[in-house]
Amino acid sequence: MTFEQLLNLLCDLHPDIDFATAEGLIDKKILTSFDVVSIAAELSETYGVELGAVDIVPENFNSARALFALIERREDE
Amino acid sequence: MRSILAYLNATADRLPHKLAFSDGETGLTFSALRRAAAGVGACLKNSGANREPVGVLMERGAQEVAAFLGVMEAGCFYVPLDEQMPRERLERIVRTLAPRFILSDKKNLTAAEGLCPAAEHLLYGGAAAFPAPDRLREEAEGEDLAYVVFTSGSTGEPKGVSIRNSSLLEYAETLPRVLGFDEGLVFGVQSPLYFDAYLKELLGVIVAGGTAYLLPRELFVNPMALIQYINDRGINALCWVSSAFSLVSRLRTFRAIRPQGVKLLCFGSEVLPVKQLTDWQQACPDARIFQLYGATECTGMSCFYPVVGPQDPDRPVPVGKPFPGTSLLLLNDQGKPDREGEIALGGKCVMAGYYHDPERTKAVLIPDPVGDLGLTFYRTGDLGRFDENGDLIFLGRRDQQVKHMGHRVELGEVEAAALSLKGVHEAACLYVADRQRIDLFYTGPAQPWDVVIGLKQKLPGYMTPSRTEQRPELPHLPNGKLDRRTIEQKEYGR
Repeated sequence: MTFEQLLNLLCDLHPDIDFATAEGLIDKKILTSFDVVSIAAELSETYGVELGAVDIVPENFNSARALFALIERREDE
Repeated sequence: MRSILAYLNATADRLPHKLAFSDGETGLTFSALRRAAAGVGACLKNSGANREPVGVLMERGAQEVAAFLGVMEAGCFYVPLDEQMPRERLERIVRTLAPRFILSDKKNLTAAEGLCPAAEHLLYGGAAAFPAPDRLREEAEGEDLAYVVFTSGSTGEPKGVSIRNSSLLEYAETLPRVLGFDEGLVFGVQSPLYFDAYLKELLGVIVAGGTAYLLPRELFVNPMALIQYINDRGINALCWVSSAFSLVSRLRTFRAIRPQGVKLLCFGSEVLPVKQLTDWQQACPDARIFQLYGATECTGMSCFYPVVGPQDPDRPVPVGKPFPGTSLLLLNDQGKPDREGEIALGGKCVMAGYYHDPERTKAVLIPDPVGDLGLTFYRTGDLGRFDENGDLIFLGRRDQQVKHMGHRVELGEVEAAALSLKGVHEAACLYVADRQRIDLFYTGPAQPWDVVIGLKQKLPGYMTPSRTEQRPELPHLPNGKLDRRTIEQKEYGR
């Protein structure tokens, strides 16, 4: 999966947010718990990236960069 | 008639020092809860409040519960105003209510004054400490209102569901018995307090003597921390909307951590998919499990189904049978009782009506269709059928209303909000149930991000579309209405 694809996925959820630069997505409540579930489901169904419960913590979802870093770690496994 | 506050008197006499509600920061014991409610009640009465609406604009917390009970103690009815609601929606609600009194906390006082400059504003802190009798009222006027909560309305105007004291008392007398509440239960409250969903835990506390922790919202983006929080506090009863349960299990939380010692699981609002249900059954082997069904217009939950053992994955979990005292009918197209049709609920649970809205009230409250019970029935707009055991199976909505993240959403209200924006000519809202997503398609020159931002100012977060897309045109039916089926086929290929 590329960073571009991730940005597109996120943009689908919230077209008004510039995910390339936005920080604090969880802390500022831009992403809700249901967004997190949608993202995890989309990553699994479309890209075969499986996130586990240990991955679902605010640090990993606060920015697109942080999330992409997590995805790369999981893809390497 | 007995007041539900009489239950709090009895429980506070029996367990004065036991924790009743906690929000993590503030905890109130039963005697502190009673004292605060008595203070708020006395303060409101002293200000001249009497059998009228009192708006409550406070942070979600133990003190907000005391404020609600205090409003009832004053013989008034509470109307929760959520601090997270968009300004425009709050203004509409306040216009409908025209409250003379608003109760708020320090954090929300300025907002409350701006929202309703004509009202008298009372601060919770001072009100709760107001000199008051030791005990709360034991009696209440059954016909008087206990609370009004606002729900989504298809025209864009929220509807104020008005619930009588007699309905709330009926709920207090049946729900704890049906679900087997006892004082050993420790609830983890997922719901916001501005909906009726939290009444389950309220009754579990004041009637049965249990304890309730209001779960911080941010825990739901961190499921492992959520389960840890539950285990650390000995929380053993979860009455959540089904989407909150499936959120935890879909993220495969139970592979890493399991809730300990859970005794009771109640799924409300939507039917939990069997796959998610099975995960919870395995994670909580000792829990009694119920699927619940009800409507805000009927004081919360009205039907229950005890889930025992493995469930057939090819069949939806039934929502079961009505609570004692509640009548359930399925009305066919002729409005006659049948095996399948629109779900109608009758009995003391049925609301007094929509606040100051006789027209929309008349559209949903009907006299007894059988004619021999003398009850008023509420037409839910939900479709159902009875299975071979006489259990109710929920089949979906007959109109444009959907359940999204446990909230009731009229897609028409989202469309009405979009149409009120500059540069939006037509708007069609669709619900993608399997993705739990609201999609909006519109025509007109407005840019999608302007539409998104405009909608965020008008609608609560859970109602704003996940996807907003501009289209050159939208298909129509011969009668000129939008052709939603064709839109659905074009957009999703089904």
